[in-house]
Amino acid sequence: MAGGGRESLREGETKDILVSSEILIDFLNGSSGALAALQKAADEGVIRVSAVSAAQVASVAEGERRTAASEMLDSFATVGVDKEVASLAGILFHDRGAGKFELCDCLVAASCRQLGAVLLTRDRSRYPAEGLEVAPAEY
Amino acid sequence: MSEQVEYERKEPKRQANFLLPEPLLAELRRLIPAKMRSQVVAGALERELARIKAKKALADYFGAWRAVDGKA
Repeated sequence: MAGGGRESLREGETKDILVSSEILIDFLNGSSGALAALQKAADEGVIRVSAVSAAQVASVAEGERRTAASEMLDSFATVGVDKEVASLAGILFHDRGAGKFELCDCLVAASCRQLGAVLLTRDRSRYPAEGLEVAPAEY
Repeated sequence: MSEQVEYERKEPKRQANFLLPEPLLAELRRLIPAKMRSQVVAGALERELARIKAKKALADYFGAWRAVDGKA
């Protein structure tokens, strides 16, 4: 869909769900809202984590917190960044708002589009909306 | 590269024996060409295992950072 984002999830559909870093961080910090959002995602689809989001989580942890985060992330299927994703992210960053979006978030959005996944996020404004299917986490 | 060729090249494969309900097996045979059945079953199993692993992680790691900080 060009020109705007979409909201998900539709009933009965099993989708790949890419989880944004802020939800993973909230979950590790014990947010019951993040837990509920992730449980709903796990019921409705397959949770996946972008390698970029994994890096974002690792970047705010050290010591035992980093170990716990790493073990948790090992439990989710990781989505890497290949040449196509990198190229699409670069285009999104350049054409849709250098200065408005972070390149990291463009990489996550591009992975989501390539996979045909739904992005679970608390803050959809961080991501270029074009072609992106979003499941807003409201907590 | 087609999905089928990519699947065949990706990793070594081993035969496994499972019992499946007859109607399910009949539907698999009706809908999926013989050459693609292993790929379809492997894909479905991969997704289901990922869901099981994720649910376990949600139970095991909720609030893990608070626990590390001694606030659990």
